[in-house]
Amino acid sequence: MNLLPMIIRNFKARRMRTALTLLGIAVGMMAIVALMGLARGFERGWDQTMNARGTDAVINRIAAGSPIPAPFSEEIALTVSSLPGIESSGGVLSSLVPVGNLPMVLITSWEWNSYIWNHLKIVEGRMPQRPDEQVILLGKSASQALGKGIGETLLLYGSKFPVCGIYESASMIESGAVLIPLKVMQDKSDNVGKINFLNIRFDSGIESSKARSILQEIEAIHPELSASLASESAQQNSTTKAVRGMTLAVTLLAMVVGLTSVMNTMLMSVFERTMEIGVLRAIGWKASRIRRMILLEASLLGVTGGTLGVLLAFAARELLYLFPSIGSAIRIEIAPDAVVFTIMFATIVGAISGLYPAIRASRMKPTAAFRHQ
Amino acid sequence: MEVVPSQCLSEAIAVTRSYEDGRIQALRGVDLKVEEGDFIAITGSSGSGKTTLLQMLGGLDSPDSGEIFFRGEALSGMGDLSNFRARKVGFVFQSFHLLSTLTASENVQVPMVESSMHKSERAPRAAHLLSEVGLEDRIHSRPPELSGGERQRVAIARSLANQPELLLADEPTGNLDRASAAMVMELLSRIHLETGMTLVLVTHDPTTAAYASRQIHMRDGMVKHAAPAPPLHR
Repeated sequence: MNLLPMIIRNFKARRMRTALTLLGIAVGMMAIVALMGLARGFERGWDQTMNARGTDAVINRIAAGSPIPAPFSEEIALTVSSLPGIESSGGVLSSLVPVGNLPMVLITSWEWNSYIWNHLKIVEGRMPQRPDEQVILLGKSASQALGKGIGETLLLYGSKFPVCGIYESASMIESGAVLIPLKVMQDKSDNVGKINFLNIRFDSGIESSKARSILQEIEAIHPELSASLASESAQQNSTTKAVRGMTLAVTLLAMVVGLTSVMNTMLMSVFERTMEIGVLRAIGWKASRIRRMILLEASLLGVTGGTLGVLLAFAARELLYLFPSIGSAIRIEIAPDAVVFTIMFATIVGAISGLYPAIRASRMKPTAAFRHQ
Repeated sequence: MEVVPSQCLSEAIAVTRSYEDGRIQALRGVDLKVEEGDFIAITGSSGSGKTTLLQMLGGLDSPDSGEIFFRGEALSGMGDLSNFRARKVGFVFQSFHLLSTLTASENVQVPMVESSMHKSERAPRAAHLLSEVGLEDRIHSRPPELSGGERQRVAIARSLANQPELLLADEPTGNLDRASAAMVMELLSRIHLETGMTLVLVTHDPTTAAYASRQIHMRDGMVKHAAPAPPLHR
């Protein structure tokens, strides 16, 4: 006769309420896991992109909440690339816009003849032939999601762009993007002479401390800009920050929902089992054992809800990936530490929620419980 | 045969208890001595204070004034009475109060968790106790699957789980038909006779009270008279 079987049978005796409480916790925990996975997926995608290009550092305007930083003058590229220790640079102008049936697609454009173009692998069609040629290249995933192939056209910025090639990239972000020559995009998007990222490649074999001092120098010359190593730039990115902010908000919300739902369930349970608790006290159970039983019950609700939430997050991710428009645009990477964090968080929330009901139950006098009947 | 002088097991001295800010006077200065090996029936009409007195003796409630002693030790000085209830007293209730989600065996094991009994000894002891009350074939049944008489026998087995010195029964036959009531009272009598366990029961039923060796009648929160029981009416 242990506490655990007693608790499990109590849950079984109140199936519907237990199931609804678990569902409430699980949905909250699922949201936490999914958002953490989204942030991680974005960071990973960004890292992939930087690695695929061979970019060592990124310069952009200090983020002000928008997923894509505000543009700045491409003239800055000239001063930056002249600094000692910098091998080459490449300006990038990107934007997120609705295209065809997709609500949001990354349109990106790269400085003509910059090193960034080198990693692209054309699998069908051809590269643009002039910096001002009004054509587009589609990433393989974007081509599938948009249902467009070579020779077909896409309406962008009010103009028709023929698809001249399909490319493959090791970066998932690039694979889901539409690529056009920088000059064309600057003209069409009213950003003449502007870029919003400057990719930098350092001289080979440069020491990390030297690289950092170059970045500090750039920031000193251009205080409105942020210069970070490629490996750290994902964390500085405003999209990552926004998703992290959302994750924190959802975590707090899930905590409040979890606390109230578990506490409500446990209070109801204690109220319904007034007589049972009174009998247990009457036959000699110590107040501490009653407290432990209720706390264990609440914690068990938490750990089960948390585990269900993680499983739901995995299921939801697979479900989302069934839609090409979503699957090509986002990656949800559920890491083991996120799983452990979520289950522990749910367990702690459950235990905290059980504190008040447990104290209430343990203070119950047997005779008061009998009178309650 | 050696005559062993009886010893006082439990004693109530000038016990008073009121409820609802003194509007209900449940006990008004009750004195009672329970000798070791006694079988006492406390009788009286509803509201006479008999259940309150039983709860005082079992450490379920404490008096407003007066004192309850167990083997000469005041209950008020024992602090947490859980230990006292777990090891010294067994309770049988009118409504059985079994845990409906547990089997008969598990119900009997519930008080054992507060004893020094090893986990591995609990299930065999529960099986033994259930066989003592004639329920060896109902060990795995849950309370809803048992008749009223069977439930009360499980409750009796549970009350004996930690080998208490004092068995307190509150209207143990109150929810049973005549045949089941007789069976339960026969069982309690047998336990008393075979083990010499001290037994105090509360009842308003003269037939049930007749099983006891001493009857105490209560009215308006006071002991009206204490007398040896009339010949057992069976």
